[in-house]
Amino acid sequence: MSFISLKNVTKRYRNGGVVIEAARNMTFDIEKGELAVIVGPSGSGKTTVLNILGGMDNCDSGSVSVDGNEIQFYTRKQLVDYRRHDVGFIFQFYNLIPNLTARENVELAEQITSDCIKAEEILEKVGLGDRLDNFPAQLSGGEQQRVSIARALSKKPKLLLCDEPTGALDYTTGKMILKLLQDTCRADNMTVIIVTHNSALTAMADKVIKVKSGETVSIVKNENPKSIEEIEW
Amino acid sequence: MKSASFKNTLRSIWRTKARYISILFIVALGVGFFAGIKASEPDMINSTDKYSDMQNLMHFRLISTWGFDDEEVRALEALDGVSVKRSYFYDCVTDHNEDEAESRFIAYDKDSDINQLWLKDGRFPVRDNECLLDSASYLYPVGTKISVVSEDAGDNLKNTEYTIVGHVYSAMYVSDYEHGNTTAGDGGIDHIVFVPAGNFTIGYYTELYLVFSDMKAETVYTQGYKDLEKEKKPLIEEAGAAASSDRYMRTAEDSEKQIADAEAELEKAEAELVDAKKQLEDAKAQIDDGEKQLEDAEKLLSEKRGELEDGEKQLNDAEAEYAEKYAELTEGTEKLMDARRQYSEGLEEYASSALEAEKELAAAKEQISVAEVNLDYAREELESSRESYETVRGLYDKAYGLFEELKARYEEIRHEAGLEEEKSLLKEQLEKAEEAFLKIGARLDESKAELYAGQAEFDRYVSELEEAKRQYEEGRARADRELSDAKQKLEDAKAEIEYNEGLLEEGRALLAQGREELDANGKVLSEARAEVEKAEAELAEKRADLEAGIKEYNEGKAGYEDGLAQLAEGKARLADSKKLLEELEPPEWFIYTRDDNGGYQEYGQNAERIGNIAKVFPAFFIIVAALVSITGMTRMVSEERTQIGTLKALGYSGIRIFGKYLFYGCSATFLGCVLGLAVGYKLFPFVIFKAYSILYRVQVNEMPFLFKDALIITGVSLALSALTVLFSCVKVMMPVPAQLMRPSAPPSGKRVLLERIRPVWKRLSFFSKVTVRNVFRYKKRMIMTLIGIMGCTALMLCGFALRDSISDIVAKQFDNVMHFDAMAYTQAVDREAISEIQEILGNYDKGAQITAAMQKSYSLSHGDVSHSGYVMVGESAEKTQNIMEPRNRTTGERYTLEPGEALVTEKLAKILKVREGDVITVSLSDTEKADITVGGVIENYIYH
Repeated sequence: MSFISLKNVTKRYRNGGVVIEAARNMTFDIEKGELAVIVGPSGSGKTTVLNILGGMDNCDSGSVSVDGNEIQFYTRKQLVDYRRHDVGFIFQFYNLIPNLTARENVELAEQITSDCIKAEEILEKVGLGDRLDNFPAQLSGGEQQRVSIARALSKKPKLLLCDEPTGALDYTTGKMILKLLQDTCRADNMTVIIVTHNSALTAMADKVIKVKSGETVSIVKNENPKSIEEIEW
Repeated sequence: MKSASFKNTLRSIWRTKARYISILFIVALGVGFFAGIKASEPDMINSTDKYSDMQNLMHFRLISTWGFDDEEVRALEALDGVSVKRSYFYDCVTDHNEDEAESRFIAYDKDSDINQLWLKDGRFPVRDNECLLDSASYLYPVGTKISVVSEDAGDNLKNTEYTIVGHVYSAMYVSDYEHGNTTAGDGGIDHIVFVPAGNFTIGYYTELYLVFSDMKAETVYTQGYKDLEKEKKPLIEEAGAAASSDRYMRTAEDSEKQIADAEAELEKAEAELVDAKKQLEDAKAQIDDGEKQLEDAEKLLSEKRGELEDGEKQLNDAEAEYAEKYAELTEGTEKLMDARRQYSEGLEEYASSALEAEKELAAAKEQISVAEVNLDYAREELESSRESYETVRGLYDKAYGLFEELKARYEEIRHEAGLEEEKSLLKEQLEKAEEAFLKIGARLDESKAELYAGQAEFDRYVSELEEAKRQYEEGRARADRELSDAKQKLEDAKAEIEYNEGLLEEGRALLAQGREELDANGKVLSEARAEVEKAEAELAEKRADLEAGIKEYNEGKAGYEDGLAQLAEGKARLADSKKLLEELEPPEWFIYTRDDNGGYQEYGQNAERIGNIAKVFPAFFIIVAALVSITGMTRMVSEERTQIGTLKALGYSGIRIFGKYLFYGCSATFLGCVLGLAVGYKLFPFVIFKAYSILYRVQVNEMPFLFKDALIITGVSLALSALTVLFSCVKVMMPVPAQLMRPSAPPSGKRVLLERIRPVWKRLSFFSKVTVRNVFRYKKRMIMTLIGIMGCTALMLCGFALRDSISDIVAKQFDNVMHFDAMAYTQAVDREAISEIQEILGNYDKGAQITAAMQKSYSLSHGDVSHSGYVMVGESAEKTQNIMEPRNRTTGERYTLEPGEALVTEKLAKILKVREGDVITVSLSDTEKADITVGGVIENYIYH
């Protein structure tokens, strides 16, 4: 059984009288330590599937198994635990708490987990050892995203879910972030799932999952993933 | 270490401090207002309670138609837990610098702890003529002297002049305007004066103050207090009835005994008086006898005295005549002596003057001879002078001739030239001749003068001689004449002297005879005088005896008359006493509670009024506070939507996130409560105290922090706050985090009813359309706005309503409801007396309408509710309308009083739960009851 296994996951949204099917019979597996890229155009259901995977949303049908746990049956409380201990989230707009410094943003994650990496340590690791006490507003986009990554990693998650991590960044910075993610994946044997509309990124993935209109179009295992430096777009 | 999420919360508060503070303050305002107003009533009541406890204010004040004696006081003291203060009061008119005022003098007893006085300034009196002035009165400064001018002052007070030594607050008089009434002066009391109790000379206690320990433990104005009051009153009445009837009996018996004693005494006195009268009459007769005897003796004596006086007068006359004669004789003798002396002097004078005349004449003769010698000599000299003159004359003539000759010669040759030598020679000779001539001329003049002088001297001597001769002749004649005159006079005087000597001898003999006679008469008279004087002394003695007797008699008589007067007086008194005894009514006690103290009662009502305000008014503030809190929190939560999502994504539970907002809202509320309570508990009661302190003189401001209330208020506020936070958060707590990560979908625009009305909708501008749709799109906001504005409007309205309800009531009550301008109280009188009073009053003001009425307090009941109320009965049904407007407030219906019906005020109707047509039972006494039908419910705003 794969580390992550989605089977026939379907998700519908009701907006007013209209029902939108954001995911339809979405099915794929991701192995532990893999760097998977879910790629597809806007509205193809890639973020929906990521949210479901991260316990941020529930599916209407199908099953989601993470590390052998059927999370679709999780209660609210279990989901909170799941998010707390097993998942690290990275958002397109970093979602740092503006009231807290880089260090405190990471500590925010530390506070709720028992086994975690020290904020200074992890920030050092993402290259922000000298910006510990800066507020998000004092940091550049890339730096903020790195704080975001540090926050996600500090919890030692089983799974790192990245929703358009470079969407708000320029090319070089984006590359730097992707490099960080790739390195994290490789070095810590972390399962990393990146959602993007940029198909250029597929080259760096171990597994590329293409989605379109809420359905899985193809699942391709990349035997020779390139390093970030080699990728151009 | 502060956790990051807590730091986040704190920083959130810091970032949104305006919102936080606004929540804090609105809560503080609401809570402060609520707590403050709510605390005002208990604070006012507790202050009064503490004040009256501190001053040990009486619970009951007793007055009796008879005053009280110690027996009655002892009967009262037998009641449980009571202490009684015996006191006096006396209402009178006082004066200070022509400023007359009605004053109530109350005994100041420094040993009693009941109704203590609170010294404002000055000191307590130590001397009897010092007093304290209650500060509710017009404040004469310390040191002012006031005097009691009422006529009966002497019967009630030892001193009538007092010096103010201090100002006090008395718990009895908390109101500035309510001092009670008096029968002195115009009926109102201006000054409350406390004077040392020793000043009162009234034979009984005029008032008693009662303090019950269990009532003291109760808080005033409370139901518990009122219940105790109700419980004690019959006990006092019972004790009073027993004690006063005892006293009545005792007094009646005493009076009867006294009357009997007095009667016996009077009879005894009457008998004594009759005896005395007899004695007096005897004495009178004796006195009259004695007087007659005395008068006879006096008459005799006075005759004798008259005789004696006549004799004495004669003797005196004779003596005077003798003295006169004797004086004449003495005078005559003296004159004779004088005459003799004069005569001898005359003789001597005559002899000396004759001698002198001779001497003078001899001197004159000698002078004549001297003059003759002189004359001769002068003649000789004259002759010689004439001779020498002739000689000189001859010489002169000769010299003159020579000179003339020379001159002529000179003249001759002078004009001829030459002959100069001759000329000068001649001239020289001329000059010499002239010189000689002139010299002789001078000599001639000299001898001529000499001649003349000699001639004059000679003439003088001649006239002198003649004068001397004439004088001598005159002197001789005069001396002869004078001497013969003097001789004649001397002879006449001698003859007279001899004649007078004869006369004097005769007189002397006569006088000696008179003297002898006088001496004999004098001796007789002095004997008679001694006799008379002795008789007189005897008589005077007798008169003194008699007068003493008369005096004694008069005294006896006066004593007897006094006795008679006293007897009459005694009889009158006895009659009075008998009448009094017949009319003697048992003492009636009046029991007053603190509620009968106008100011005290009003104060309680005012506290209650504030309490009523506290019931509704601050609720609005609480609602507004909740709304503000909800709005703020909702806004905040929706602003932090993404953050909440992120936190959730990070693995924060909903509760934990909610905790942040709960902390936010509740901490603001808690701080608001603390601030509000701290300020409210002190500020509002203080402000209300201050406002009432214009009217009331409660000296204690009890503003305790009411912890129980504070806890409840804080608890409720926190719960309310938590609810509002929950209400605000529920929308973001429920959805899955993914939903939160997406921006919240704005509520879809809805078609509104207005759109159906095409002509209107078409004409609206784009913004208007948006606005109209938004109104319905954001219902919550709209409702919030509506409720908020509603609350504030209600608050403002409430404020105005409060003001109007107080100010309008005055106008309504006194313009529309009550028709009378003044009310006069009398004793119970009959109809005749009423019309008399009406006539008298009507004379003051012709336009005045006077309505007589009876007003009395009864217990009124309907069903199981009973309440005490005033029953007012006008002299006639129509005239009752002159007192109060018989109108219903809501329907405006005017009632007319029908027999057997009563009009009931709104409040009473509400308390008794009666409507028109119901029957009220009036308890006239314990046994008598009367039923009366409610004829209508009328408008009234005060006296309840």
